[in-house]
Amino acid sequence: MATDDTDDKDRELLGAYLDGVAELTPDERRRVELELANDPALQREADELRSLIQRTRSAAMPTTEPDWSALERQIREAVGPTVPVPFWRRLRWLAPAGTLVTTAAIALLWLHHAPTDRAAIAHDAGSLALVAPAAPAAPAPAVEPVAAPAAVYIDGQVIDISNVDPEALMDDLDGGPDDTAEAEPDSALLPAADYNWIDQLDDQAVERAERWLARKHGG
Amino acid sequence: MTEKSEIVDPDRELADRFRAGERDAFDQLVRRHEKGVWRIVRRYLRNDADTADVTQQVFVRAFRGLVTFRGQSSVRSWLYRIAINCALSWIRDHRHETATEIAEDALTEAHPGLDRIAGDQDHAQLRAAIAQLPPKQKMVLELRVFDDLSFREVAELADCSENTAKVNFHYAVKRLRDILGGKRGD
Repeated sequence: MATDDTDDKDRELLGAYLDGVAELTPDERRRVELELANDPALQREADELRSLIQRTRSAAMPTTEPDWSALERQIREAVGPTVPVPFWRRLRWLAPAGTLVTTAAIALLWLHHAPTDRAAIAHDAGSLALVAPAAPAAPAPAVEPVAAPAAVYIDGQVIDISNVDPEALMDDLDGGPDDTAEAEPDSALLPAADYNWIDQLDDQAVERAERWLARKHGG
Repeated sequence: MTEKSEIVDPDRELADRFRAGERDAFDQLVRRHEKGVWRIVRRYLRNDADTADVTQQVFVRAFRGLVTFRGQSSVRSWLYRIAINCALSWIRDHRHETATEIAEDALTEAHPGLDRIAGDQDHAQLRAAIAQLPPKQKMVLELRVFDDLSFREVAELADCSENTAKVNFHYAVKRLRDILGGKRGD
């Protein structure tokens, strides 16, 4: 039964085989040729159909051909001289404009929804950020204004500064009072602000200095 | 199959040039396909003046649509599909006007001796037999035999698989033989 079905399917390709053998797959072609080789009746049918296809091809309906150049001219006039542009190309400006509008909308949304009374104050100086406890959500009947920062983040650690004198704390954070100022001249050191005196040393003075240094490091 | 797809398709080239803004490329497409489009439309309308109008309409539509043509089918079968759609649309729009003409066509097809165009008895008989085929088989046979389309293009236009187009063609030819020879159908 399966073989009969296959045979029928192969025979159904006979017309296509006769009219366009190149359009059959090699396998289809082989199967039809096998059918033809094994069935003389099918061969006769193939001859009839081939002849009929040729006759039909020559029987195309005769028409009085139009004036092609006139038709071409009419078409040219009807379509116009300009190549149409697809609508999405005409709307190309929408891409940057859309991006701009979207960005602006996001910025506006962020500004609108950001808490106006937020307690966090970002500090851009390195890893320092001053943080205050969050204020109660509005509407609060009477909110005490946050007087001062209550904690300090230093290198990822929270330091409670609620009972610390802020000025002293800032001094500590800054490494002591005004360490950028020029150091007081130490009596044990030569002046470091002006090195011109080195040029004025004579050889003996240099030798003395070297001996002093050798003693100092040797001792 | 692979070899065929590697061959440069002049229609595709012209379509690309047109999309790139070269207006003349469209004129070349018109010159390449006006006869084919005309033939198809003429088979539906059977009137030269209307056929000219519809053919013009086909190319106007193609002109507007070519910029969005995605190349999933050949340009030729794409054009022929527009042609068939335009012809059917024209028939719908002029149903009352064409009733008489269609009846007259049916008469001439059925009686080849009255064929007003072709003098050839054999051809008239053949066309009358083709007119009796079921619509799908008729369409496949005409596109294949009269328009010289590949089975792949026929399938695109007939909205079926390539294999179905081949099978339809086979049964169309067999039925045609039976009609002409008075032989019993399969």
